[in-house]
Amino acid sequence: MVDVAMDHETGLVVLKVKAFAPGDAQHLNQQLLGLGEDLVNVLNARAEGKQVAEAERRVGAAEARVQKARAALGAYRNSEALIDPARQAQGALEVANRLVAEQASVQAQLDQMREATPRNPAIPALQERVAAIGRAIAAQNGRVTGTSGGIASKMAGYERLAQEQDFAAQNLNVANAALEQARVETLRQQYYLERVVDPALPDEPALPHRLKIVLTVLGASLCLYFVAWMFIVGILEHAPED
Amino acid sequence: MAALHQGWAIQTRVIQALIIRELTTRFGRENIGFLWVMAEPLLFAVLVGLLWRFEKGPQEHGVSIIAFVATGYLPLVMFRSTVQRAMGSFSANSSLMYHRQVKILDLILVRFFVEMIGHMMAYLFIATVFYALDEFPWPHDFGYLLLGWSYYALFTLTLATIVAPLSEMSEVLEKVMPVTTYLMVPFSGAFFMAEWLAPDVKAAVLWSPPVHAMEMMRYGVFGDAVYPHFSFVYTPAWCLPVLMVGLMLCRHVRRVMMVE
Repeated sequence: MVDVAMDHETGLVVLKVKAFAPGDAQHLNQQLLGLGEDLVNVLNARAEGKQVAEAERRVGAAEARVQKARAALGAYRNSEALIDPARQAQGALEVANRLVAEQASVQAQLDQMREATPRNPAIPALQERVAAIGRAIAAQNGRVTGTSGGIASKMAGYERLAQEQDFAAQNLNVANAALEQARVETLRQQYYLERVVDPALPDEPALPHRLKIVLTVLGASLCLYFVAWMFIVGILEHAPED
Repeated sequence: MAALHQGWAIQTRVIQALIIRELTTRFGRENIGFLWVMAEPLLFAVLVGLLWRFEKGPQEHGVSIIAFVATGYLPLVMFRSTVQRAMGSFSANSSLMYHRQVKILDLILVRFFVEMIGHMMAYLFIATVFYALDEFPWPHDFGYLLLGWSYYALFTLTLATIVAPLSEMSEVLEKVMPVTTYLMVPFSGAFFMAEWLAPDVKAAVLWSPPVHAMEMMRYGVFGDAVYPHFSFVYTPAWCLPVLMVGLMLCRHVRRVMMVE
């Protein structure tokens, strides 16, 4: 006979097993405890499975997105021959600025030479130099803007991909944090089956209390006899007089 | 030995006859007749049980509230009505003393038996009906239930033997007794388990003999769902000396009683 009682004051559950042999009782009790532990494990696994699996799925999706964004950016860099448009454009503009300064100084030298010695034979060479510097400036500016292959026109596509990569990376961070939290949460919500007392093997039979059973049956019969007697007396009172 | 046997035979017959007389004079033959004896406890237990059921919900401390109220109220009502009816039972039945076979103790016993059997009927009835309605558990251990009931009955009988002769000696008792039985309610154990109380209140309540009997009955009905606190010897150890005093008082009253 198996008897489970929940104690509401202490929160303990008491599992009692009565059997005809002490070994049987202990064996049954241990088996039942084992089944209980299995059930608790299944419940935990199910609760853990749901939340953590969802979080892991999100992390996987975020990782895939990051990789896709990186690959797209790499492919764009290769196809457009571009590493970092901002720095590249800055480099080109710096060169152009230096050239402008140089052109200005050469132009000044040329102007002064024309004033002082209009027929100096170095003048055509200087003129040629100013023009060459002007062409170089135009070439440098053309690298950055104006032409269809310029950095400015590649900038839009590059920034779109770079932004996508940033977003994907942030998404991955968030997903990782959520996964960590889900793991902590399931750990916190886990059910435990703590054995306070292990089933013991009785040395001698505790049951049945033979004398008690006999006395109980006698007492119960006496009570029932009284009740039945009173009923019968009541009925006989209603019987006709003859 | 033969005298004891004959005496026993006569006393059982006298008590049987007097019980029938008591039933007839008290309840008549109209209507449901003697079944009225269980009407009062039945109504009390069921109505108060339903009241609590709607006030506090189906369970309290893990036991069915209707079963809890019924197991508490029935013995309490038995105690109250027995003590109430014990008062004045000598003067009301003094004409019976005309018969040589009727002894003064029989008058108390008869009223006590009528109440006890009536409440047992009510108990059986309520338990059966509510067991069918799934509001009453199958008793965990009939032995504790019966022993608790007999302890409660012993306590009731003891008080009846005290109150009956005292009521012949003093009119005041008749006026004071209803209040006293009402004040007994917290010490009857009817509405709580000792375990639920604060430690010092619990200690105070366990001085009262019916509380031990009540805890025993509750354990018999609810089993391990409750933590009973009782002693097997306290109630009889309290009742037997008091019963002796009560029997001495009855004897004294018999000597001074006027028989018409």
